[in-house]
Amino acid sequence: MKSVCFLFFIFFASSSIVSAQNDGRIVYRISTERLSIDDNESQAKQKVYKLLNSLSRIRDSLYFHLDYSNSESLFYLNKNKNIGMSNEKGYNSVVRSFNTVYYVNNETGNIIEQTISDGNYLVTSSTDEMNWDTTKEKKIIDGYLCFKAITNIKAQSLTKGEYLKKIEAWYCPSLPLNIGPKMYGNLPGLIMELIDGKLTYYVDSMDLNPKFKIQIDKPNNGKKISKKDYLSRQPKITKDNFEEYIGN
Amino acid sequence: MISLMTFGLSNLNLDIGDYCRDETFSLMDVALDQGFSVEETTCIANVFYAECEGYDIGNSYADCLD
Repeated sequence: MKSVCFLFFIFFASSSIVSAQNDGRIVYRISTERLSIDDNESQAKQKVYKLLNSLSRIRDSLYFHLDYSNSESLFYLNKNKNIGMSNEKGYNSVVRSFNTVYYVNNETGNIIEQTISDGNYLVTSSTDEMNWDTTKEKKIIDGYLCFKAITNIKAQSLTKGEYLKKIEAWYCPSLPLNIGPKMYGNLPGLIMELIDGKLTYYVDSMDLNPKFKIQIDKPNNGKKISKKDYLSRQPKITKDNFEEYIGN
Repeated sequence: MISLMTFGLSNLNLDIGDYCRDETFSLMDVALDQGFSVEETTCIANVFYAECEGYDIGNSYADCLD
């Protein structure tokens, strides 16, 4: 009985610490799924896979911040921190693939993705469009009990066109923050791990009681466009138009 | 006889072309899944396709990346 009371105390105490402190910073990093290189494959494929694996080392060296203050949060690449790979060939290319800043307001449901492609864009969407299926699958991450949730989001790919992309999240209820990497959140606990394609975002460190000021600057530089319209602008390569893009 | 050989060779080229195109699509999926932009993905795909087709690409991948 005493041990049960003690566990309840610890749970509520930790929840109180997180909820009483409305500002904080979660630091994420990425683990890229490595490509297996088969000696029976063509030289061309072996070569390009080795290249992509070397670029994965660079990607996995990056640090991302998820800053939150009350109902707002901001997810972005920390360009000031690197572990000495900035002189590696391909570093700038990898960093550029993470130039999107994600702003989420859980009170209004607004999501803004500030991104640069053929111009500066503010891509808008809503947290209402994200519907999670929670599962009973669980695991311990850094000492926290976490559960798995899955969502399928509308995405646009150069090769697939419009499709539904599966995203997996491991959220931890004992960390009552409904936020996570990129624009993913709205789960009853902080997302400690997020699997997006071949990339797994994971928590590197947490500062739930920062001594520095957390400032959430809502992105405002760019042309406003809905997510639907932004996705529809993306090109699609098919067998019919292949030679317009490749090999010409 | 010569026309048959030409037919066989042209079919072989078509097979290589189909193989290289399919492999290039597969490669683009991988690069996009890793978060590369459309520009970088198509650049890498172009170099790969050229090498797959038998061209000497030298250090062309370096032109896609900085």
